[in-house]
Amino acid sequence: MAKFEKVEVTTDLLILGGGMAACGAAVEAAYWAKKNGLKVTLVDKAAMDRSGAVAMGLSAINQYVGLHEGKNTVKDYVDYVRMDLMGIIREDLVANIARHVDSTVHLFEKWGLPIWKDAEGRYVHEGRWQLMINGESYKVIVAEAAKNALQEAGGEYFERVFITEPILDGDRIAGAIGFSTRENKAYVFRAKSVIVAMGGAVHVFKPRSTGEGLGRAWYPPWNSGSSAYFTLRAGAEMTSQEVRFIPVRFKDAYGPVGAWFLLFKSAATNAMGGNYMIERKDELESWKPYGLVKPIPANLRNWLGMLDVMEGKGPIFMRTAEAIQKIAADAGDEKAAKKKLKELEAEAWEDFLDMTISQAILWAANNVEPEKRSSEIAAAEPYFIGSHSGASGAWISGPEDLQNGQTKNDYFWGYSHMSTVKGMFCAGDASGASSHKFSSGSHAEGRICGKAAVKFVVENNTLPSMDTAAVDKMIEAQFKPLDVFAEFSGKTTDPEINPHYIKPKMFMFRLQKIMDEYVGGVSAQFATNKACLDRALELLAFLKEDSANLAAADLHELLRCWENVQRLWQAEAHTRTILFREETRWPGYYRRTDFPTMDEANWHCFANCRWIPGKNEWEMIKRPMLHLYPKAQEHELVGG
Amino acid sequence: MAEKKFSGAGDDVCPYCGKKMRRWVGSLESAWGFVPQFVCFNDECAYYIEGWEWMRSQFKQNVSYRYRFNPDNGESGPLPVWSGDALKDGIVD
Ligand SMILES: Cc1cc2nc3c(=O)[nH]c(=O)nc-3n(C[C@H](O)[C@H](O)[C@H](O)COP(=O)(O)OP(=O)(O)OC[C@H]3O[C@@H](n4cnc5c(N)ncnc54)[C@H](O)[C@@H]3O)c2cc1C
Ligand SMILES: [Zn+2]
Repeated sequence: MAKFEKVEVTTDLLILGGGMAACGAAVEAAYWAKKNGLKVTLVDKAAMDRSGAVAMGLSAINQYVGLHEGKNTVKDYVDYVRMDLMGIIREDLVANIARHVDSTVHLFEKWGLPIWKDAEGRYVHEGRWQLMINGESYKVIVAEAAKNALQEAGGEYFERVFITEPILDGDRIAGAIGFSTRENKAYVFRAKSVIVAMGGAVHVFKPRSTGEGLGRAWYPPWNSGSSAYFTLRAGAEMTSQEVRFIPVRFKDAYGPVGAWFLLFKSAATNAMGGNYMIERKDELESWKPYGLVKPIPANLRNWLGMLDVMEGKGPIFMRTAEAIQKIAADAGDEKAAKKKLKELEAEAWEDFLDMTISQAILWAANNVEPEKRSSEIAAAEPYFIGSHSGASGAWISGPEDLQNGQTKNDYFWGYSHMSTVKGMFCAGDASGASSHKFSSGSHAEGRICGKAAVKFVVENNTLPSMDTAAVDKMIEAQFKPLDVFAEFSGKTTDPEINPHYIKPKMFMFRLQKIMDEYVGGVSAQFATNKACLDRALELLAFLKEDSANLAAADLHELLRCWENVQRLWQAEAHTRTILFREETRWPGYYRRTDFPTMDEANWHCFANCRWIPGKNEWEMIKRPMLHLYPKAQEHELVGG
Repeated sequence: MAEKKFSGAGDDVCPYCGKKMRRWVGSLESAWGFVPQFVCFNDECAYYIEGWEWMRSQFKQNVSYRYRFNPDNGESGPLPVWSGDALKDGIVD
């Protein structure tokens, strides 16, 4: 084995990840840890200042409930999320985050994030739940607060350390192993409790942007399913693994379309000029009651556009040119029109520049002048982002005080937001069935976990034991791709092509092809069925076998090897769960062509799964969908 | 500018300019969820006029806001607009 220094770190609470949820966890845990004389350690594979999905900045905080100002109630938010997810959410989790999210937003503001306010100090809302911000440095501000809190409480953080496997002590989490992405160091973290917050997964499916566009994606390419892998390998029960997210964005660079709807009133129409939102309105009846609510659930909006594309009426265009010309015409004289256009255009480009820079670059490179011609929008490849409009993640306990007689047995086991593995908590993209947390809700959930995990440590204040020989074996396996490369790379003239190993990039391409073709990716028009899914599982098994032959020329490629192994596990959990749920509930995310309709009688429930460590078997589990809040009446949902 | 409290649900008069507000819905895609609300689209309204300078000076943004009131739950607040006739095509009365 290649020479690596082994660094052992012992702590009370270990936070994995450095994104929004992890930063929230750090702030809160540091506070409680200091009171109890405990140590908190955080590990991020990147640099916290710009790591995770908020790296490039955002222009809105998407979850703010305004409880104190009497703007909305917790139930209002639960209703909104419940309808968008076609009836399947853990109301206790969504409510718990909703009742804490405002204080997180107030902290952001205290730390220096500029949130737009009118002259009387009221937040400028972009929508019912969305606050406008000057958010280029959003992540930097949030990370700084987390680092300060850790340091002040005597904690520590490690950057550029990639976490691979969990360490277990029976049914309790005992820590994690990982490696430095810059130095020859293996890390062994021992802890009494662990918070998993390593984000969701991108590049599991073949992206629309391939070849020279590789790496462009809606979801940040650096989140690769580490949360799902880690929790699965620890034996945690997972939920909603079928609920992927598919955003509709400008094609090939994934730029946000909202500003173009809003600023220019551009309409999205098909090749024939038809507006699917109007022409296909009746289709929404088939997805009652969810089809009739306003706002229309994200996946159903997708679905109406997909129907056009499947009928050969694509591409779908954002009619920017017409919209802009209309604005110019309304402005009166030519000079006024020019000035107006310039202003609006600046706003729209800014929308790209402060969160999807690649879109601006792609348009500039392709001479796209939105005032002269329309631009294509498209449904992107699937992502795993349980904190946004997907729902995949670990199955976690809700808070005790929100449970009722019916939910208590199924939704509560000891500590808020703890997974089914003792001492292992999950937040943000890592926890499931509590969609629409976004940046603020993920941070709030991290804070909830931080507090609960410290409570767990106080009440279980023993360092779990560790089998050193077993951990050394895991470390050896962690570095195996380097050994494989060292041993075999000389056997061919081109180190990229070698019968003894597979490089991580080719491994990723194979994974993406399987998922794309058989599990409802872009090429399959998001459709799949039992035969396809069975074939996918067969091919994924071959790929899993080949993961033992991954090769890495350096530490960076070692990181790539692990990212793709983790993606593979996310892929398998997804495929198995789509196979298990025999209905189509989110037609704009995926369709089972062998079960094309929604089946409320049998599938108004959670589809959960678990990989059983030791046995190397998967278990599929149905869990009941129980209500804390009465179902909203139809008139409440459509409003007015 | 003094804090102005809204007089009550169902009221459709702008507390800043005293003019009748218009019934407005955000687009289908908008985060407002297509719920009819009252918005003051009076271009002479001080709240809207002063908003431009306020947002420029405080947030370096070329944006103002109009007064919005949701008669369903009595909640109100500033609705951002990037131009004089932005959002006007959502007027439904
Ligand atoms: C394109 C896009 C636009 C969005 N727009 C908005 C918006 O306008 N408003 C809004 O409120 N929200 C928005 N969101 C949602 C928001 O970004 C997420 O909800 C939030 O970032 C999730 O937090 P998280 O902590 O779970 O994941 P992240 O913030 O992504 O953090 C994941 C962390 O884990 C680390 N990590 C990953 N793997 C490992 C590993 N193996 N070892 C160690 N560390 C690891 C990463 O480096 C990172 O620090 C958007 C998301 C996307 C993708
Ligand atoms: Zn007014």
